[in-house]
Amino acid sequence: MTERMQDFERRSREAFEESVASLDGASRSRLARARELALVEARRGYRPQLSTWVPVGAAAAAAVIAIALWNGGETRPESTEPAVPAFDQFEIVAAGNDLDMMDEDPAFYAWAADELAGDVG
Amino acid sequence: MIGSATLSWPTPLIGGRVTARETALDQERALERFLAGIEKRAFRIAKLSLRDHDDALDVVQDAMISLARNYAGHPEEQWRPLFYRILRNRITDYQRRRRVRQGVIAWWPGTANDDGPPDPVESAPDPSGTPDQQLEGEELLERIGQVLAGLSGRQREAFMLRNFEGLDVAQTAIAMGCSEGSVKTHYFRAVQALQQQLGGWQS
Repeated sequence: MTERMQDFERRSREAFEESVASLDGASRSRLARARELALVEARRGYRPQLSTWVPVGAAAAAAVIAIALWNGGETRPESTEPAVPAFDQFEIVAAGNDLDMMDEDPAFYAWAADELAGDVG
Repeated sequence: MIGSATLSWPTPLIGGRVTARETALDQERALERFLAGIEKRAFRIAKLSLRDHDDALDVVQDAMISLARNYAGHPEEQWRPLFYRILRNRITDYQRRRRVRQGVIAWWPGTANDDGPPDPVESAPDPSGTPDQQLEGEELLERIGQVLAGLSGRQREAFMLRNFEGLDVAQTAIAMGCSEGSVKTHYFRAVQALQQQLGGWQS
């Protein structure tokens, strides 16, 4: 690079700097507006990184609501019938006896039912 | 996306002193400082390339938005070459579109310009100007712009990025998407051509 070329570089650079410094107000204003638009874009670009937890939170909330609704549906109305010891029912089923046996001795079973109701009541 | 650098937005400390919000604000302030410092220079460079005030403003705005959208999370020291690379691509797009538009206008009956496009040699300043001729400021830049318009795109870019914007060879290579050796060659040829064509401009 010759001295003349270096001198040319320096002078042209100075001219450029001068033109930058003397930029008119309308252009400066338009550039400032462009910068604002760019910053809005940057904010928009950053937001998704923060909002990655939003779908996770939404899914968790939906799961909690679903469980609550499920349990709510399962609550049965309070029974008005007297409680029957479950163990007796289990015995009958476990014995494998045919429930038709009730036809064989209805008087006995009527008595047994009365006795049972008397015990519970 | 340009380059292979990965996002390096600092990870906020969970429950720590640095919150995500503070990090985002710091990043935004840094980006605003960067854009405020570069926008006028970028506009001048775009105008020298496109020779049109409004088009230059448009490409600078596009480049700023693109940088903010895609590279705000990159390390700050990468912003400048990335920004100029985006700007260069936008300028190339505009020039291409303009050529197509001019081609269509020339083809359309009754709209052809009989004089044809201006001859860059004719429009270049007279190299035999008097040695003591002194050009300053806008006038000098205007004449440099005229001569730059006659150079190859690569030479023009290398000159503006190195001499006007002050990018070093490595940064210019990133901005131009070529090797550092190419940058040096293009730059040398650009300075040589400008200096020869603006021979009337002496210090």
